[in-house]
Amino acid sequence: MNRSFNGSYVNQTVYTVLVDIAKKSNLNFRQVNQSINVQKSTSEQKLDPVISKQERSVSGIVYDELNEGLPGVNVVINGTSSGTITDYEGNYRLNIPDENITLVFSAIGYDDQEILVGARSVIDVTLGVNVKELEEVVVMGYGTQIKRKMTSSVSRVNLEKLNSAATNSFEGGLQGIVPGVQVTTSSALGGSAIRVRIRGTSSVSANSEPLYVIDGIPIESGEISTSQPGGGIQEWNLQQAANTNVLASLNPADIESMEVLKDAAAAAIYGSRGANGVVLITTKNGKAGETKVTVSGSFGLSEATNRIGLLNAEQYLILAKQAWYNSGFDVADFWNNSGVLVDGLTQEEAERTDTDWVDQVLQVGQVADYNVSISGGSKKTTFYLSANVKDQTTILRGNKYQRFGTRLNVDHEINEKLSIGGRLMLTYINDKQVPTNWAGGVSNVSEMLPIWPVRKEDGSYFNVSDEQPVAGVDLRTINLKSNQILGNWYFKYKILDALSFRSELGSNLLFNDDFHFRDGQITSHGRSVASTVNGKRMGYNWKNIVNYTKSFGQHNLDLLGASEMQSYTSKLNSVFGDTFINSTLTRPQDAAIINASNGESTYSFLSYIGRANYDFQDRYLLSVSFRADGSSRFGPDNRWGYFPAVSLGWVISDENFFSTLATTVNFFKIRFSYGLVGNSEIGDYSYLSTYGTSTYDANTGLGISNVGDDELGWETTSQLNIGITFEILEGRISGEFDIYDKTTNDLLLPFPVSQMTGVSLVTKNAGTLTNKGYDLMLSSVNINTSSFKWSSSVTLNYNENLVTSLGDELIEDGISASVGLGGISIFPGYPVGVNQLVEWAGVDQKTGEDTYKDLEGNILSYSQAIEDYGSFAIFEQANRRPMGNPWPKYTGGVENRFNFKKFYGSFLFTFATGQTYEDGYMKALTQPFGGDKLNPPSHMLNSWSSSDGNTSNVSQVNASNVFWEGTSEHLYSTDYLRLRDLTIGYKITSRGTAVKGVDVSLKMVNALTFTKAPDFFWDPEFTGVVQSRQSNNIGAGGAFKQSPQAKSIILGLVINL
Amino acid sequence: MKKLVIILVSTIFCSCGDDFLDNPPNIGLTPDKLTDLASAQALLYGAYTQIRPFVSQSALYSAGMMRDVLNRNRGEYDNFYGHEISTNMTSWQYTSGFTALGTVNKIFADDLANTAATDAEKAAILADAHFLRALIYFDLNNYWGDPITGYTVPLLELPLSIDDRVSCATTSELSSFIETEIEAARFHFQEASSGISNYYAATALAARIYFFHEKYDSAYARANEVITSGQYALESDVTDVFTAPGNSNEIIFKIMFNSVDGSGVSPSARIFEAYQASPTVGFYSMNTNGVAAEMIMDEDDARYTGLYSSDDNYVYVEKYTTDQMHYQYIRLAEMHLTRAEANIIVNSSVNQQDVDDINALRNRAKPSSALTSIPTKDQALNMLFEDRTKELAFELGDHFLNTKRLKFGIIRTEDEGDGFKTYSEWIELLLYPFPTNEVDIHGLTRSGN
Repeated sequence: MNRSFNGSYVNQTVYTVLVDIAKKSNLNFRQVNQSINVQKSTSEQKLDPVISKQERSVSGIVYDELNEGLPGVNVVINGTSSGTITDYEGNYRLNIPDENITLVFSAIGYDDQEILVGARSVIDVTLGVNVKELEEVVVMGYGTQIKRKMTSSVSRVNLEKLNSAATNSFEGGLQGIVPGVQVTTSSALGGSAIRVRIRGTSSVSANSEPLYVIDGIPIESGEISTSQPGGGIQEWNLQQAANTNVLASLNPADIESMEVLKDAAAAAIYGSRGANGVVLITTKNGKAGETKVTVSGSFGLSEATNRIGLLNAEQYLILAKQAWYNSGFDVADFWNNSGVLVDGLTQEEAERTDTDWVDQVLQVGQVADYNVSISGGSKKTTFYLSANVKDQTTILRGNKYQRFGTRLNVDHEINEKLSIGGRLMLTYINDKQVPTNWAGGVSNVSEMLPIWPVRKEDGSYFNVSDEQPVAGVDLRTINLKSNQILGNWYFKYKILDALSFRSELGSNLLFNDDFHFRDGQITSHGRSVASTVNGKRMGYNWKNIVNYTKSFGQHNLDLLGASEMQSYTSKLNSVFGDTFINSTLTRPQDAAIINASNGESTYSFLSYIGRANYDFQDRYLLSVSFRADGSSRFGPDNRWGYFPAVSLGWVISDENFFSTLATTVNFFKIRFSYGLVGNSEIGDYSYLSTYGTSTYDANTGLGISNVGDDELGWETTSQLNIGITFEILEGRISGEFDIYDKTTNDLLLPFPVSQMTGVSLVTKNAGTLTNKGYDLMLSSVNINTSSFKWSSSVTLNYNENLVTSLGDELIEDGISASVGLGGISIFPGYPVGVNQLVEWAGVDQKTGEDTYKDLEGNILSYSQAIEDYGSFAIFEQANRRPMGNPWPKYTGGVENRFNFKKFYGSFLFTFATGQTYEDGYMKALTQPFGGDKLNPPSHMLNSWSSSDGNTSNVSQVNASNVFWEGTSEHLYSTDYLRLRDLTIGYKITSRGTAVKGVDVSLKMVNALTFTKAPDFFWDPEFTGVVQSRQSNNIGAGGAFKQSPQAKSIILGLVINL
Repeated sequence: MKKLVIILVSTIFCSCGDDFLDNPPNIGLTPDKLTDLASAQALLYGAYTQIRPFVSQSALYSAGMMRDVLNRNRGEYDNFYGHEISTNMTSWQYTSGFTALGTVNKIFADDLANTAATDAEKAAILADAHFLRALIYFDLNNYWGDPITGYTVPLLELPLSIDDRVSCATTSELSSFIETEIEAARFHFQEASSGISNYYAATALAARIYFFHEKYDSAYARANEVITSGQYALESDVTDVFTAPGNSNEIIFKIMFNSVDGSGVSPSARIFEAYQASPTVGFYSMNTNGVAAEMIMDEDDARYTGLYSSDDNYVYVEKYTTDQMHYQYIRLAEMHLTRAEANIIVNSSVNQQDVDDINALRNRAKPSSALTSIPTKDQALNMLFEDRTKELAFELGDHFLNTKRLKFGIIRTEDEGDGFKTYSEWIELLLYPFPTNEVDIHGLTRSGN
């Protein structure tokens, strides 16, 4: 429409102005988040209040779903153009001709409601939320956009869909609800890390976690604390992924929405930090109107998703004696010579002991979560204030995680041109950890035999060492405390009607205070050791944005120019104490030997950003962006990277030729995008050759610590995305489908160099990696009546990860990574982190021996391999080949939601298929009767036996020692389908009372799991053998000493005041 | 106002320069700063730090190969015990050795001649640098040198850049280099103002090198020089040699440990961790059915009663009762054994000095075994093999090196059956493989390049 209106609005609010315009036009206005949506009225009614000749009138208040007065609602007499609009507090008054008329209440984002007036003079109405997906305002980097106009691949998740209540951190809630986002939880440890990959792993050695941006401020994800606070590496916990996750500091209840930027066109605005995708988190704002108070609490119980099957004492003795016999020994000598009687244990004691070591380290977990939020404000000032407490005792005995947090979000409009605001989050975390994974504890339950007691008769620990799970937990203290302050402050100035300027300063301060203590009974040298670690991370971010938005006829233009600078400094001081004269002394200061160490590093980014969004008739859409990023992490000659992107959209359903289909397919858009993004997550000084210091006899020593590369530059990912967005049957069915092709060039590889240079690896740009696949998101409203609503959604991602080149003929056979097991590698033609294994060919049913296939396809028995090659190790070295795939090919979820009157419910299934893991520890567990005394998994009871005549694919047990070869026998599929979330609830609302609403819910998390993983895997979900989130791509295919995950039942209560 | 805002916006956009991206590290040094004498000294200290794991790995791995130990609970050490030598473990030793060599070679690459320092100070730097190169290459050659094909690890005299490619040296070439280096060390130590190590340490190492290079006249001369210098004295009680922290006057060269160096970096940490007298921690105990045990387990010998303990299941080696001690690399007892054996071989007969050398150790450990007459050459050599094994067991791999020198057999693994396998059967089998990456990158092969 091309109508103009005249009016004088001095000192009037926007609301007043819009009401006036609405009255003079056939337009409706509706505030959605930070924007005003404009829509033609559904009928050509004139919205002036009707002055009837009759004196009868009807009035009332229109409420939203939270019982807040809803302004701007159209109240129209059905079949006429007469009506009115609710005021600021939701009030309306309307003269009516008679009592037989029906009023229609409508507002954008809400379901229409029709009410017969009858004899009533007061009619209060509550409108249900119904935000049409295409009209949603989606947060993009440095701005927002209406979804129907978007040309790139962005998924929006609102709080209602975020299933984060029972996850360690909010990002875990993305699992199964955003296509293309792979979420893997690493452990049941409180606050532990979650691995997130968006459209596959885009790097080999650089950090592959997405960039998290909270209210516009990029956040350092990863671990808060260090896992190796001093001393020899063996003295500590080696469980980096278990360390407290920075992102767990954010209270999920404070999140309004999350946007996941998946394709390069969307993420390119974040340039060098967008290669892994971007997750934008928007926290809640207050809304003008009555002050709202929400009090919520939940209490949950949890247990392990799976108890691994180990042998009991009787089963162990049967099998151990069988192994002893099979090795040619006399069973009569078993007790005296087999080595099972340790630490003074007698045969009689062993025979009457049956310890379930799993029971000793697991417990029923409890979690309590409390939130209070107060929000509201006036026309000029809005606020959101919240406080939260989480108190969790996990299923791992001794593990306790507490979080105390508060948030204040304030926005204030000084005048029509100038507005200011700020966000401030304070979080304190007290995390009492227990060892897991390599560090022991629950991951060491196989290290102890069921015939061994936990304690001796005198109360001391039996067979005490770090490998004794109970002693390992009881005699070690890991207490990680942290304080995080996350804040940002802005002012926005409207220079011209179409031109605005926003300056925003953000800061992120993180202080950690860790304490570690290990009793001498579980250290390798027998002395107690302790350390304190104090870390400080300080980052700031300052960005300045100029935005120009203007429509020229049917041409709409949105221009953005911005600069951004960011600096981040990390400092770490640790004090390590060794040898305490008294068991009550635990602080390093009281130790006989005290060592201190210090670390410090800084990085900075300087960026210039431009973006233009253009559309013609809302039908032909174009977006172009460009970002120039400079980073201190690269050599002076290669500091700057340039990241352009372009995306196009065509709303075909608006074309005339589409009109025949338009009654069914009411919206259909084709999207195309291409862009470049970068990855700079390689540490701060990789480009420099540096010599580190050491100490020899109290003298300072020097040794080369890094060989730099002046030419070290950006890892660049290009991504082509072609997609469609559609809506059928007036939104009853909607969806998106995207095909993408991502190529990462100049991989920042841990390039193997000759160890004779003094280092074994240098960081170098070499090689290419691709991720190709598709995302599908389908939503449907299956039933929608006034009393019952059923909606469904399906997400699916297919992704194929492939290293296509390592860029140098010298490493055409791949890069072997030293991850403790030695068999995990990067090979051209295979996914990142593929296993290098000898192909296992089953058990020779005549001899009970394992057989293996050499590279020529010949099948050799274990003894033949040794005979031919001299040793099995040499055979293994000569016949390994890449196998397996640590990355799932298909991931997704199926969700159904129901509303029946005041009841509601939902269930979400998630799945991942196509991934495999090599359990490097299984070889030890399947030869547990030699020097290493281990309790094997229960399937070993079915091992091959010459006497029973049954066939078995588990080789004959014997008392030989373990050789740590890697074969495909222990390469397992971990496909799974999981009932991730099952919720039922009851929600009541009331008006005019102190309590405006009560919501009671019961939620089950991970209630059911169907998996191909063997039953000696704690859980099909884990993150691979290399525990650091920063570098866990290479070792992603190896599993070693896993730890359990939890399933929970949670009772929740929300009270709105 | 609008102009002001536009100026403000423009200023903000343009206010930040490229220098914002200059964030050099505050910790550590870049190579261009290593130009003075103090830097050269620090490189040497760094190299001494880096050889800590190198020497202890030699001792542990070789004890496993000789099957002198039982491995209770460290699967990775079964590679050695089971005579299936893989690169998993040996690569660590290769890497730590060449890492230390790289640090030392940096000194030779720098312009030491033009560094501001006295000749004596420069000599001290050179002396330790040559000493370290001899020590490291000697051990590398012992485990990677193939006596059958005559090829060994590459010989590097300068730091290797990542683009350099090298090939295997011959064992004779490397042996010659090692001897040249240790003599250069001795030469410079004589002119040096001071050093981390000293002249007699270099001379003792020279004796060891020549002895295992089967240059017995030189071995005799060097060992004799150390013994007759009067700088060192045998402890009257052999257990005193191993009293922490290890400052016995019998020790000629030790790799130092100072508590301020930091826990976990002790040169004896790995050995202590392996041998500690506990059934639940530690992983190596003496194989009572092994060759060494047969010689060592003598209840009348102080070297057994004072340096080993046992419980119902295991016999523990207690030469390292704590990790808070120096690592005894060469001690005077070895010089007596070396001097005696070298002298007997050179003379093809036994004299009283040889008997005195043997008795010097027997008298303090088991006086009843002291020789009262001069034995025959063969008797003396057999005695020396046994005495050497008893005296130096589990310290630095002497039993393995001596078995290799004498081409003796090694006890078979369980899979191979009872008895011994001959030198020709084991010499290639127990040769350490090159790390896979070195083969990939340099194409290293000991079958001739």
